[in-house]
Amino acid sequence: MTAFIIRRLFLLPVVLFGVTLLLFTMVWSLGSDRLISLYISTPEAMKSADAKQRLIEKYGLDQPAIIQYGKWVGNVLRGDLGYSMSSHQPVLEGLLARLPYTLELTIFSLIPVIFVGIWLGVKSGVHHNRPLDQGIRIFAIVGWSLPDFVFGLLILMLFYSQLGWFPPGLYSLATEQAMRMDNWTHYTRMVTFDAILNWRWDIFLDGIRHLVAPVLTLAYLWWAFLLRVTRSSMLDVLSKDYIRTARAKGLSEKVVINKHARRNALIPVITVAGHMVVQLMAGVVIVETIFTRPGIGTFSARAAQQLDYFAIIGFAFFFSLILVIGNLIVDISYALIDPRIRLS
Amino acid sequence: MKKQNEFRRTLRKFYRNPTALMGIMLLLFFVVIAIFTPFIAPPQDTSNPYNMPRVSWRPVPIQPTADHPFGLIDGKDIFYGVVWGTRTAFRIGLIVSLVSTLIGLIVGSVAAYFGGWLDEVLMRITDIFMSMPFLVGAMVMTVILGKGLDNVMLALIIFGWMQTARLIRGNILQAKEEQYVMAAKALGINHGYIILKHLLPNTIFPVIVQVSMRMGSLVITAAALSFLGLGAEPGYADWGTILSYSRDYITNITDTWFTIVFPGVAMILFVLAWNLVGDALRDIFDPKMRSK
Repeated sequence: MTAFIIRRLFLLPVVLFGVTLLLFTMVWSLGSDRLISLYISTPEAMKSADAKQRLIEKYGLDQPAIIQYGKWVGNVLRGDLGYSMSSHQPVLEGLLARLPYTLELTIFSLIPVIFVGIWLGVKSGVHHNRPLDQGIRIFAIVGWSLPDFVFGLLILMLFYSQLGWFPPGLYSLATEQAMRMDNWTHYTRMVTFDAILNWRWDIFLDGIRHLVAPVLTLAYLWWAFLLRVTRSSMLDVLSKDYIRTARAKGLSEKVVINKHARRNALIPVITVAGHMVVQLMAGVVIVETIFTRPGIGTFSARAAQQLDYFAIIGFAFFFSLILVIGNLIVDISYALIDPRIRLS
Repeated sequence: MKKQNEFRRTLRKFYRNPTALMGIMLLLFFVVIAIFTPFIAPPQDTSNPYNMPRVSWRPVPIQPTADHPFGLIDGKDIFYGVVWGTRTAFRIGLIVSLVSTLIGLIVGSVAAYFGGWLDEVLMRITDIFMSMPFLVGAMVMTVILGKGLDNVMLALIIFGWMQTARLIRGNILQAKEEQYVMAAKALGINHGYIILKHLLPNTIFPVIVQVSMRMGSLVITAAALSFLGLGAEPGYADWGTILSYSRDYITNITDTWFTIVFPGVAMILFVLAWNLVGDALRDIFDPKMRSK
């Protein structure tokens, strides 16, 4: 067990080192001529004939790759991911300011995804090959085939343009005004949680109203994924001997399913669900863009459109940091839950 | 002889499976459209048929008419874009999945077969590429490489080979302990031959299923990049590009439904077709399912 954790902890910096190398290679391959655009803040800076050469020398873009890499990593370690031209602020500051909105959407998506996904998967497994199972499988494969942005646009068209129920954005105008008041305290910068802490139920409901459509978009995609995993795990467990024994000794079907089968079937689902959290955050890039929520997804999409290299590289590094650490936590906690993992 | 029976049994199972049959029919439908594209939507400029011709100077969506059955957006015929977009989708899906699978197969089988430090290095490189979500990696790569479909495909290949590598590595690690491989090694047959003739044929089926399932997600990701404005050039006949135009006109459903529904449904059906086929293949080749 300790050996497993030590090995994983040892590999973490190795992988992160590799990620920085990969990202640096990408940026470096742009060449100094294109990179120089990152440092030009005003047109005047380029007026003199030797301005370009001066800037290249000033920012060390003519130095060997390894020195540039060292400088860049040094900056990253100090939390300096560069300056974002597209949002007019340092990249790290921009990411951290927008992270709460993304986290809020992720948290609210996870609840329906995990509970409904597992519930449907168990149902599908128990009713193997019967109409209910077939129906759930069709539901799953359609969800798996739906491109998130097409589904998001359709939802926006139906629930906003047509019915006017769930508008895009973070909150309505009234909420924005309430948040500007002196008696409003920003605890987490997440609309719904702040509303609870400020005891404003109307604002909480307003926040929820703006979350329904993006959550639905994210959820359908991942229901499909999670319920398929749960279903096959459930089928696997249901064919085991101890289930036959449980039935043979006369236990009711409900006890067999709920106590004997489901608990064991959920072990592999936990790992998958853990890794899913991180992947779900990646899906946020598209969903935030569609529903105009100002999270890190929207930030990165705009940075990408405006060729804001520092911002997009910073975003990628930030994301892989979340992913690598998230996966590490999942793997270690999985090893704690299931002793069979530790042996291999 | 035995192989033939196995193959026939597989085919029979496939035909008896209604969802698989539906997938095959859908796929055939798209293949037919892709083959007869120039006849269904004749291009005005034959030297550059993938560029959607401009038929109107008004950028707003214009309702479907007899001439333009799917309507217009940004002055371009949506029908033309959807039909030629089928070819684009096939091109992206086939090229990216073939090349990235090939890379994955090489990396995975070399790592598993030779083991030791080579395995360790190759798998850590795989980990590094996997520590960025597919869409994020592809996004960064297209920003660096610049716009254009070729660059999108390159970006998808660069961040698309890792799953195959891991899958084939796991399978070969198991298979290489088998006696026929030991025997081949003992006879002094060269490594490349053992991998190609003995190991891959016995381990490749899950990879084929994976390829089929991945076709859909590749086309979705490529379209998502176009939707974000990072993919194909403006005006390129591509489903994601058409959808990115419609994003600006979302507020009025009666005036704009066709700009989302036609390219959107084409894409959903295309992805669904590949997923149905992949799902059926997995059920057929999964030994756990077979015994029942």
